[in-house]
Amino acid sequence: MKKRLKGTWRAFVILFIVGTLLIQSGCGFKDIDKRIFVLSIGVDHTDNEEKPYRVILKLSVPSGSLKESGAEYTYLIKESESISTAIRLLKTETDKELDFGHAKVILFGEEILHHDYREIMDFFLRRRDIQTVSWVGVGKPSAEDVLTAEPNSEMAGSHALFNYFDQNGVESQLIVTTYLFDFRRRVLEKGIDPILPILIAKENNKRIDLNKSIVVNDKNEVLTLNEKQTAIYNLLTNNIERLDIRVHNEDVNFTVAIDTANVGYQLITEQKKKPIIEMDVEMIGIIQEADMITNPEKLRAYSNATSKTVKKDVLETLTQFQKNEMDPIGFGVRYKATRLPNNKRNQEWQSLYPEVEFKINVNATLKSTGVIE
Amino acid sequence: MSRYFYYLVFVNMIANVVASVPKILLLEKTEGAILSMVLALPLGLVLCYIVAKFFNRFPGKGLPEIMKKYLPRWFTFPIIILIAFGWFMAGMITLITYSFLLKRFLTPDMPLVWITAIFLLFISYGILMKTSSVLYTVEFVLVCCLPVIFIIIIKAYTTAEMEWDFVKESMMYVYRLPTFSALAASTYLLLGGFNLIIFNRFFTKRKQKITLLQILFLGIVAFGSLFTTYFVPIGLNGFEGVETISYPWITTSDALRLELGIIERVLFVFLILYLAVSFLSLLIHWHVSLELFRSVIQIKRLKWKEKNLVPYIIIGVFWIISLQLTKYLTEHQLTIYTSYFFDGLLISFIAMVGLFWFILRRAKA
Amino acid sequence: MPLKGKKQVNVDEAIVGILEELKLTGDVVHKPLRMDDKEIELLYIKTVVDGDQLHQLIIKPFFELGHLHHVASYLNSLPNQQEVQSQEQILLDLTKGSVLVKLNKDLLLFDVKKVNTNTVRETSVEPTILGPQYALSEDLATNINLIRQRYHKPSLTVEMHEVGSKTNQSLAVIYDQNVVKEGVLKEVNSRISELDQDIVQSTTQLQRFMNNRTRSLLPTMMATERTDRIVYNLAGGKVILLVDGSPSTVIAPAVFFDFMTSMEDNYGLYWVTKFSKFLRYLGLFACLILPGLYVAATSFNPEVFRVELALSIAGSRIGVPYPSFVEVLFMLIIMELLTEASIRLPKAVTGTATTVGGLILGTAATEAALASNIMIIIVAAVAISTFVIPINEMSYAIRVIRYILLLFASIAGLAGLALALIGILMYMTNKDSFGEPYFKIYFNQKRAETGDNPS
Repeated sequence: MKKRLKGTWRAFVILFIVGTLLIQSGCGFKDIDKRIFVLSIGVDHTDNEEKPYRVILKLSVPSGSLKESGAEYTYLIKESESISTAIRLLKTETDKELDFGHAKVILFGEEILHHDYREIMDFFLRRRDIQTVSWVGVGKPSAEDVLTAEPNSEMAGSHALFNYFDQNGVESQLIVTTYLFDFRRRVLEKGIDPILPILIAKENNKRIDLNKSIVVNDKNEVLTLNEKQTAIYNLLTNNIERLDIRVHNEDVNFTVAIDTANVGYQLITEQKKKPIIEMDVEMIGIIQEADMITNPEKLRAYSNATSKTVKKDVLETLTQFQKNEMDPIGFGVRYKATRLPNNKRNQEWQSLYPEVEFKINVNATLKSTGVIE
Repeated sequence: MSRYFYYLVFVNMIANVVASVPKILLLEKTEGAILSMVLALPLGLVLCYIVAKFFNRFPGKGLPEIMKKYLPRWFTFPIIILIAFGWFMAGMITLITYSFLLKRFLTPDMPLVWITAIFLLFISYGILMKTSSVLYTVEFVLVCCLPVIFIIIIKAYTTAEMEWDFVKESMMYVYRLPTFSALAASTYLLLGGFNLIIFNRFFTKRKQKITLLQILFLGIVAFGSLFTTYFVPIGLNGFEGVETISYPWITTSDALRLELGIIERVLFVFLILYLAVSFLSLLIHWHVSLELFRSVIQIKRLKWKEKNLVPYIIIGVFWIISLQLTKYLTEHQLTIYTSYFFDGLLISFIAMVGLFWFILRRAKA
Repeated sequence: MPLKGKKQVNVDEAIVGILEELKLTGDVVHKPLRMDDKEIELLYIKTVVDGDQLHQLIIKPFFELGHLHHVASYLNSLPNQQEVQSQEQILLDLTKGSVLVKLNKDLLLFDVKKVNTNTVRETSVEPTILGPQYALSEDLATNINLIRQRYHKPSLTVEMHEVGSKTNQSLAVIYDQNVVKEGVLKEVNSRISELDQDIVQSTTQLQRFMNNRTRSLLPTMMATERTDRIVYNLAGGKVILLVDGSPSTVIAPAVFFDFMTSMEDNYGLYWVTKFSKFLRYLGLFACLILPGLYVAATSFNPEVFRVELALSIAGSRIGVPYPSFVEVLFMLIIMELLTEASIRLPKAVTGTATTVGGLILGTAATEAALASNIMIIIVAAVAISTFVIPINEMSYAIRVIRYILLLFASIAGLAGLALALIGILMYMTNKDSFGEPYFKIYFNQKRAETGDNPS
């Protein structure tokens, strides 16, 4: 009798567990088909004072057979006073739960950068479900145009924007990739300025170009970098190993493919002297394209020509940064990192930076003329 | 020493990387965090050495047995209760911290109490196990987790986004005088060896000398984990940006991406790994605490079906306190109280060394 | 030793008593043999006695030998003579196949058992490609013979016990005296003496009876039919239990890792066996966590895995009416039914059943949107990897554990899954098999680790 009682008791406990399982509807149990995934988020600035933000969500619509039907996306757009209000309102417009867990691209309209982009950044960081490894960029003419663009090469289930940023998809000297956490630390830290890639929607939103970038400084001023400057920036921050350089020499015009590049710099400040930034650029590569027959014996001369070109480009870019009081490379941080703190290093650097003189040594070595001479 | 001794030390070291230690250290980043860590290293090692040496003299015996043998009962009782309570608090901090973490990052829609309860459910089974079983569990989980943790750390150091200029910037504050709370927090990393007060029951062999080489090994590992705990978050989140982060290491791990991994975001790998390691830490601390309580609270009459109910009642009390505290505390309070706890712990551990010395004198006499 | 007339008041009385007991048995033979002045009486049960052997051993010599005391000394020197202790024992032995001989005032007992179960069978439960292909027979003596044939050492000890208060089966406890661990042996013997069962039919049954808990999930003794595994374990200092009439043995103690080794690991090349071991653990891990992982990933944390995977799961779940854990449970149970059915079915039908069940049901379930495609893949992977575990008992236990993990994954997602895994681990480390820790990593030499002082 006692044994049987114990058995009933056990059965009761099991029933209880299963019961709690069945009724625990509110405990985070939400099936994947009841969620809709936000793939990218865009924020544009409207001129409306009341509702300054225009939030665009790109959602992926799951389809039964991904391979056949191709990707389907849908967009939700809302203007509101803050992003969270907009998202709250947008939630009511879908029949499913918005899941931001896979939102990997965050785009701002350029206008946002002139306003208080810090608050927007704060929103994205504060939310636990948005990855800090999501890519941040600037959309042109607006974030909305870029997000709604559906390039022809976009395949089912793979968002084209992801592939642009992901180093697995495209590897290019012209693409700056900035993660959200990187953006944050650059914004918060004095002595290094955030840089973002610019995405331009073209040809009726059938193409996206991504070869320019934009730097914002502490005063919300922006500087747009063209293709060449973007490449130089990437080179200087050791972001890329491979790049192509077009060299215009007296007699030869050729393109060099660099496969190993290494950049280091030193900050020299001495009393009553102009501060100096000494930069060493080491590059190794081969000739990729030339408008004449190349002579292997003149590789050294070609190398020198390359060095000279790179030196000129680097100097131009750095001077451009300096003139606009932009510091995407982080000279300011290096200044602080090599001097003991005295609580006013930031101000010191701000007065020093405009006077800095750049000394650039480029040492390009060409190893080969390629498969042919 | 036996390899199980290292596990006790390692669990403490690793488990506190996610918990409040980096947060406390980073709050002192412009004060004396670095020098505190430098000081904590020898201090922790010396404490570690003393405790290992002391328990070597009493193979197979835990602190309660030793105290009962050499010290009067009126003295033993309050001391053991006090120590047991300290260990209980240490486990509690881990429990609440991790419940908060889970709530924040892994299961945001689940009630906090529910998360804590699931934790407690498993931990209750765990702490009732034999001491040897606890150690076997710790060993297996650690052996599974350590390689992955190691890979993540390597990944953190080698990722292109790691900005060494930030690290250097923080190192410029090396000349600032150490602060007590930073010292206490970083010493805490090395104090896992004190779990011997109960786990020594398992170490029954006599010839288990702790050599200088072993201390050196512990020192190197401790240096590595302190360095990683403090500098990697700075390198990835920026020197000025790091202090406003609630969970420095979680945000840091989210800054890592395994491009080709099965799980792309390191954050989740990290969370699951630390779920395991925090569980171990909690298991060890509460096992010690439970055994200590059990050694002094013995009510023979409290029996049901030939089982003494005392441990179950103690666990019941554990449940109630944890669930109430989880509901009551906020994240900020938790950090502050944890910091106070570490401060107190360092002092009381030094006092405990005094106790050891006293016992040794009595034992020799 | 013959039962002397002095001790027993009357031998004739004993025979009458025995006959009285066996009165209702139709196959009892009570036959006096007479020639000249020689006379003996035979008493046996016809169906369990080997007639040829009886004739060769007793009847023929009786008629050939000249004098009764020749017969007596011949009979007393026969190797298969048994000890006579009491009437009950005689009765018991008669039922096992002995012949009782009354010679003068003595009772002699001879073992002339007829055994029809001594054919050695091919391995069927744990087949290997290399290694011995024959397993054990269903006869105890043959089995001991098989083991002795593979383990030539004088220290090999065979202790005989009797189990089952009704069936009185013989149980052999076999171990190598030099390497066996005292504690384990003592524990085994004490548990055998505590056995309180009417019927013990199979060695594997002992597993359940000798586990001193009423309910347990994981096996702490290993059943095997492979002689090479037996010998391997004997040499490792373990104790082997054999019940008469059962084609398998149990080995004690057995810890978790023993269940994960296949005998083939000893025969293959180093890296090859390492790889197959790795596969086995991978399979174990996969069949444990995959169902739980699916529930956790679809219903709690879809952000953990890659976006492409999340989208494809979401796509394939379109139209599935039930929450993910019901879906998983549904498919898993169907799979278990299939496995169960294919064990019970006659061999000829098994193939058809599994094909019909597995292929058609899987496709149909997805077509009917009862389960998602990915779910089917997971169930298939789980089903396959369950069978990677070499010892059956363990794979049955793993099957059950899977549902526990599934339960916690459905309650608390990934965190629940991870905690439940640790919980299972704790359950295993807390278990012991005859004093050996059930789950423990062995870093050093196995001998050093299993010493009395593990530290």
